[in-house]
Amino acid sequence: MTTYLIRRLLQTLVILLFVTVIVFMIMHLLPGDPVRIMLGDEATPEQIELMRKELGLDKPLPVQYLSWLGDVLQGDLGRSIAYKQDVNELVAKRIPITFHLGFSAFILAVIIGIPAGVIAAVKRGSWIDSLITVSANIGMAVPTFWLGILGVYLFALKLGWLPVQGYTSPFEDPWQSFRQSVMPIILMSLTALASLTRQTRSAMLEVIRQDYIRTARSKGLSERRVILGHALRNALIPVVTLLGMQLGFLVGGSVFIEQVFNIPGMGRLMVQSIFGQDYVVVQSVVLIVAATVALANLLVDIAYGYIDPRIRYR
Amino acid sequence: MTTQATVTSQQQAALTELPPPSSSFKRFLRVFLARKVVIVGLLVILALILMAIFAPVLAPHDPYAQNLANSLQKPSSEHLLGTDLLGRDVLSRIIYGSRVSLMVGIVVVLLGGTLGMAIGLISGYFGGVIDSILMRIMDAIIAIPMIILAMALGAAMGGGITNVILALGIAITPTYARLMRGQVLSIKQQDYVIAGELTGASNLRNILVHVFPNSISPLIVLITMNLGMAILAEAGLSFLGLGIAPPGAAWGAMVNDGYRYLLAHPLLSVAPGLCVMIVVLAFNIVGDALRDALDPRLRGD
Repeated sequence: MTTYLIRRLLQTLVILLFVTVIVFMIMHLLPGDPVRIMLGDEATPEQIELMRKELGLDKPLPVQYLSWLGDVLQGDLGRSIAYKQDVNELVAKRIPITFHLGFSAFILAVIIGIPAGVIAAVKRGSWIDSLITVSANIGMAVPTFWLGILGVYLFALKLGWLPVQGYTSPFEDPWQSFRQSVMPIILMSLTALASLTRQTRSAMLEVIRQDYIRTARSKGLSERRVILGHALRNALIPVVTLLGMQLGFLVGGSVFIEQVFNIPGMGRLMVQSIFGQDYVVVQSVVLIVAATVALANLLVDIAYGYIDPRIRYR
Repeated sequence: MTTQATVTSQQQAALTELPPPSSSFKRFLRVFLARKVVIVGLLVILALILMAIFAPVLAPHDPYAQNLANSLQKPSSEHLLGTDLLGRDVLSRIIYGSRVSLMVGIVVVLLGGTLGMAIGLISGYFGGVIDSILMRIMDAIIAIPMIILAMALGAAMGGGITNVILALGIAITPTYARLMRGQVLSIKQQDYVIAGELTGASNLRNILVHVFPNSISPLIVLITMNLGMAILAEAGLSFLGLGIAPPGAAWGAMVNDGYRYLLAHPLLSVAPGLCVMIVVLAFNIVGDALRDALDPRLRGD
């Protein structure tokens, strides 16, 4: 188990290292000149040169990369050009917001998606299976930003049940926070929810065919125990392994939802920084997101190393 | 003598049980078209293709012709879906938007598929350090959610349809690379390839000859699924303003344009978004059916 842990940990570190290289390379293909944006149009060539030197942008790319990597490893993401603020501060204010919405959406996806998949598989071919399968298919295909707009139209503008936009922390005003975040959370969970439902359904159908399920049934176990005790446990292995990927879906979705509902989270920061050509912020956001997904995958794998002995010996 | 006779009759029985070669395609069609919804999905895809090809014939108006006097008209017999802020006919823009969606979908998959398969082939064939490095790069790309990666790449390269295609193409590359690498590795284990290697025969050709036929089924399934995914992602990027630049007609951008006039003119946002959903749904349904018919093993994914 220890070797497995160490190997997975090293793998994650290597992946993250490659992520930093990719992110750095992408950002240094950026067309705009960050220095010119910082100083404005009236800057003289001398001023621009001076600033470039100050930021280390005159050095060769590998040197720039290493010095950036060094800073990142020490927890310093750099300084935003557009906000004229440390990226750490910018991000620290926004991570809790995206985390609040994203984590709630994740929980929602798990507590609805997995049971829905189990019900669909157990009642295969029935109207309830069709209903769940069709809904999951639609959930995978619907553009969440569009559904968000429909939601705003119906629940906020037409019916007036919910506020149109904005974000309030649940610690500040729980009721207002709930009213503002209920739609964003549901929408953010949608793709992951649909995908989890589909995966659980196929995994359950796969497992129900196995011999040990027939054995469990012929032992006279109740159908409930066969499904929940034997089938679900095994079917969940592939589903849980892909939970890290679901997190990726969620984070991707947060970009659209935060845009539609005007929520000041990480996704919106990303969009605004792209338009502001604020490459320091963009590369930080990408890095944080990738690190989150990679760490989530690591945690899932470690958890599974404990639960499923086969995985340790792969 | 008797044993021999038994064997022959068993062989004969086996032979009669084996379906003639032509019926395997029929069997494929039977599984593939088992559900009516698949036929609907195919019809939607066909309609999309026809709409894209014959857009100039089908569109009642010029999708780019501005007429400010005609701004934000309600639906009428002249403009079935009304007009946008610049007085452009919404229906015509939707019809032209099918070109963007279809083209982005197809080119993204071609680009990502070719790139990924090449990487997978190199990785699997050479193994060792090259394999490790390439696969860790693929892992790193996967760790960055598709839309975030596409946004970052789009930011670096500037918007526009070419860069959207490049960005999404790169984002889907790892799936194909992994698929191809797996195929190459399994073929490398086959006795005839090892035998060929021992006799000094070049096994690259051997592998190529065997890899492609074996990969066709999973590839077709993956391509169909990715078509829908790419169309959805392009709509998202265009919605954020990172995709197709104005005045180009893209469904995602139209949803965003309409958002400001939601209360008075909901159709401006609703209609193009609905098109995205229907098209993506059609590709996903057809992809699922193809998977069931071609490669039932993938169902566990």
